[in-house]
Amino acid sequence: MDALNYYAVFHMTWLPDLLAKTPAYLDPGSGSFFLQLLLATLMGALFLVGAYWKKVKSFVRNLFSKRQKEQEDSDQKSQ
Amino acid sequence: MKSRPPIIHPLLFGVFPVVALIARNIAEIPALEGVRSLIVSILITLLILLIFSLALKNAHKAGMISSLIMLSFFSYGHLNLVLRTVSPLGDLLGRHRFLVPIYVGIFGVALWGILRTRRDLSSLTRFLNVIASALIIIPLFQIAAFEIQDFTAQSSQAASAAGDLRLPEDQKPPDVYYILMDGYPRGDFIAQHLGYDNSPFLDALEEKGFFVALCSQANYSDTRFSMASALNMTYLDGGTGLSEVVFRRTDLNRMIRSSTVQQNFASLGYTIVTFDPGYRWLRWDNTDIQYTPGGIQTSRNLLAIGLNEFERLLLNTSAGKLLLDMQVISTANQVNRIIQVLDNPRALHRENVLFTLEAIPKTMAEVPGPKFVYAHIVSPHPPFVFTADGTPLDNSPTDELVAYGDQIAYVNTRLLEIVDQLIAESEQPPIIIIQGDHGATIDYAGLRIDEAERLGILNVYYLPGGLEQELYVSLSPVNTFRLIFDRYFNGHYGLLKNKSILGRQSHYIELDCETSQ
Repeated sequence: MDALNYYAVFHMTWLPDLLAKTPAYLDPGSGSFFLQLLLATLMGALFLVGAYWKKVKSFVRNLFSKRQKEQEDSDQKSQ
Repeated sequence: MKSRPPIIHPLLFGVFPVVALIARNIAEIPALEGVRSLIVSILITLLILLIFSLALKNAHKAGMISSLIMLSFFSYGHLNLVLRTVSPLGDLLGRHRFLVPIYVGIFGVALWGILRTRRDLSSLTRFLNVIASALIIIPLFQIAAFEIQDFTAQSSQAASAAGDLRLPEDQKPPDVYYILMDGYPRGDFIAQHLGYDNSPFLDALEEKGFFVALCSQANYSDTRFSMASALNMTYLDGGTGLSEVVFRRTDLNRMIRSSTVQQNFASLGYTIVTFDPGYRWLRWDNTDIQYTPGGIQTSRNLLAIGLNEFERLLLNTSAGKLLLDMQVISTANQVNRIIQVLDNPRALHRENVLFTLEAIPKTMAEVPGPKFVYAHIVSPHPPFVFTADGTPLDNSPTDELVAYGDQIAYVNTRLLEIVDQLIAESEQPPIIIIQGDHGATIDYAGLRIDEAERLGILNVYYLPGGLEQELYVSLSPVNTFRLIFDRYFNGHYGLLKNKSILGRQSHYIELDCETSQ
């Protein structure tokens, strides 16, 4: 984390000058902007899975039990 | 029956980019400079939400469209910057003519999808609420963590005084002026790359009794490292002797804001006088007198007309970048009031530089007793706001190297006036140090200039009492105050070997230098 911190300090402090022509030292932090969006989306996805865990579980269970039933039906027909 | 989720995500998506930018720069500027952006962002989000709620009669759809608008607006500039710097096809992908149609296309499809759907959007609203809450928590945590750390951090890294410092016995103690010119390169670099002959300025200083360290190199190539080192008279290797900065960013900030040099002068009974440079980490704590330039006061005034530096950066990281870039195209149209508002940070910066240049000599009359005056002037560092004769430069110049030389020419004129006044009007001959923290701030890779040349700096000394014999052309900032304390205040620091490091870690660099320049 420290290495990342130092890298950011050294390399990112020049970006505003080179890109934005704004006064020194302010950093647009574009990389971290998108990283935060990504992390938050992942957290949201995890939350959704957690919130609907019962539904997800029953959906998967139903899926398998349905397949099993279909298999049994086809076995019976073939006999 | 399930409860319907509140529609809070548009507000959070509207606030997040502002808070994230404040968090990113919390060590640089006070959060106050972002308050106006925050208020405007909240109001605009609420207005958009209200309009779509009334038009669609569907709060979930209105919320989603509002979030889509806010996210699209605030992410455009970021994406443009990332594409232009990171992507190998950045020149193509980062162009507005390419990016705008893609953005409009994606926005249109998403909008169409939201308007057409007949599904219950409660779950999606819940999902977006979670994302938006998580988003806002990250930068809020960063801001809170910084503020707490900043409040509680102790200055443990400062070197202690070697021996008892004391005032000279036989004479009045001299005033000490430390004028730090940010991004002021060495003479040979200026001549070679900026096309400007700086030798008349250096000759004029020598005639006034200054010693010019012609071959001086900064110990570090970045302001934060350089100032932490110079003001604490130590390398940042934590005593390892390796060419590596072992301090964290917050440690370096603390070392600058409360340094050994400041503590030493305070312990000697000096009045500590500083000028607010506008950046938190450069502003000293516990000074006796701090002058605040008008431009900085304006940038923190919620009712001031025109953008401050933070607001301009926010605009530049949003779809407002289109406006700023179009402005560059229409530079001829200088009477436009909008341009004045957008370019206000340049005017504020110019005001700050001028204020400090004018105020330094005034301290002679305004501050009684021995004083240590520290002025960190963010010039000739970009932005370029002065022509060679001091005429305000209202637009970004097309040739930045020439503009750099011009800005140096102007600050030279002002510096000569200042030293003339200080030498002529001080009760005791003063100590004057004029120094760069690093060399030119330019695109070294783009210009195919060796980045190591960023280490060459201006470094000149006016030392009463005939100490010139002890000075040498490669004297570096880490030794500046070691020399001052040892020679004038009975210190026993001794001089360190001069070493220069590019960035956080590199091999030690010694630039070629001809003393006959």
